[in-house]
Amino acid sequence: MAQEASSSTSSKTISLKTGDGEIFEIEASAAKQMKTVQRLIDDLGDDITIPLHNVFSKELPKIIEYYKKDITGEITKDFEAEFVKDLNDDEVKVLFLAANYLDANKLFEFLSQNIADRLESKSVEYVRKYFGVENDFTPEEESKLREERAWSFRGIKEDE
Amino acid sequence: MLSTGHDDVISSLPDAVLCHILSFLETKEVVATSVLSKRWTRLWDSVPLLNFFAELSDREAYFRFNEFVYSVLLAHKTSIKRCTFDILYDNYHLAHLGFPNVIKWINAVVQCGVERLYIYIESYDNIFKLPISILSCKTLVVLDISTLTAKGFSSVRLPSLKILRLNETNFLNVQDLVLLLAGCPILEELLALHLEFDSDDSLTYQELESLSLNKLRIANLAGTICHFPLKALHNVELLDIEINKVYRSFDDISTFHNLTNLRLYSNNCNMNLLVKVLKHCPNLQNVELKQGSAIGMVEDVMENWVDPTFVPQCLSLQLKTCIMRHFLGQESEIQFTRYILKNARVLQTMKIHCGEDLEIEKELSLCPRASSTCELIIIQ
Repeated sequence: MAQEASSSTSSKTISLKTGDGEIFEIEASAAKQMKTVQRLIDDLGDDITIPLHNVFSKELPKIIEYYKKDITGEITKDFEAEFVKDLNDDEVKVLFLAANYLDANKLFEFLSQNIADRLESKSVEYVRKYFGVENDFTPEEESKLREERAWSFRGIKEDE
Repeated sequence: MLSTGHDDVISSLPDAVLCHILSFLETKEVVATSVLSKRWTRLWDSVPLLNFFAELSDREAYFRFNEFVYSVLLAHKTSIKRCTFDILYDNYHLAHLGFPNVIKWINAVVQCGVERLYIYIESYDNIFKLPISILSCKTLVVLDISTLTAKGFSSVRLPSLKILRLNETNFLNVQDLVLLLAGCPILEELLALHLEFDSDDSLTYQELESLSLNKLRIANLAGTICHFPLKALHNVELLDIEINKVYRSFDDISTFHNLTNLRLYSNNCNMNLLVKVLKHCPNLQNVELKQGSAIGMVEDVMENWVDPTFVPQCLSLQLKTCIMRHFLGQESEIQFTRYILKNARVLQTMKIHCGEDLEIEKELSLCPRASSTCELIIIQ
């Protein structure tokens, strides 16, 4: 039976099912912050377990942790620093992709900044690997570009 | 397995998402990504945020940087939302060569409809002169400049400007500052720190009355010693200002109805004047008094305290905290403190910062307090 949203949203929890079959609960107010989830709730109703094919059990708990803090207004710079402290670059990337998929704006913004910070003085090769970019320049084309943009390459490490 | 899957996904992210990540990088790094692949050569110039940082001490660096900025500005396809120029020219010669280029860059960015502009140009012997094209930029919402000269302008039209931050900016006279502000009708935040004026002409009565900044909520004029039209600030909620010889009478200013937080720098101050100030701030909740101007000068306090015959409304109803810094322990300061403690009915904290050798704790803790919850804290 469809429930009235207004009276019970504050304490209502939504069930989310990850791509690898695990189920997690979040508050409805946290779910609201993830537009993709909210759209699915609007379409399927809030009693059904919402399927998230592209998010997995490794990253969803971390995302839920972030939004738990968000709905109580407790997200501080310290919290955010702590949140990403022990994550390696790939783990942040996975979270970022999930935040993008879930259309979770606040987390998306924060992780964009964090990724930018991490890539700041990394080598071109590293950044290529990170974004899965295939280099379609010839060595001559690439070195010409680097010469033209010499200022940009001051101080950036190069891999061997 | 999973990571290759993600690599495919991340490289299939739309341009807008990748540009978004790039927008958090310094432009220098953004341009470097153009070398990742052919797709990326098309991404970098869509990032609407540009920031240029450089400390230039030799000709080679200078030329490379120049080339770089020109190529970025020329390639830029979308409108530029935000642009920062933070450049240090390490010697006179480079500055002399460089300044005309910076002017061209700023003009180009202004033409691109920039909304937030940050200009910090430093050079030991030269001062960069602000291009006046900025002063008629319809799209500008934030202007933040430091260590520049603003001269030679006669009309200012900044209809979208909400935040103006001027740090160590040099003006011909106060009239020019007023002219600048008069061109910012929807200004909400003003920082005018350590401004300098070539001449200290005072404003005419007309000039004092004419400026009105109705939307202004925050004003910080620390370190700026001039005859500033206080009436223009009448709607502010937060105010930092130097009270000095100029505001001797304080009779002809209007009331600050919305002011809740006030920080006063007073040099050679008449403590009675401070009480008069409080009279003009009926809703003041937090006040901080710093002896000595924000520039750092400290002179002795005037010794002519007279017990006021009135109690300002904010003391009776609103004032919660009072902080005094560089307290010298002179008689009129003590009398002032006593007066506040005696009349501030809802005061929660009176905090006094003073030198280690000053022995005022006993004397002040014995003063009668109107507020039973008032805590007296002395920090030495």
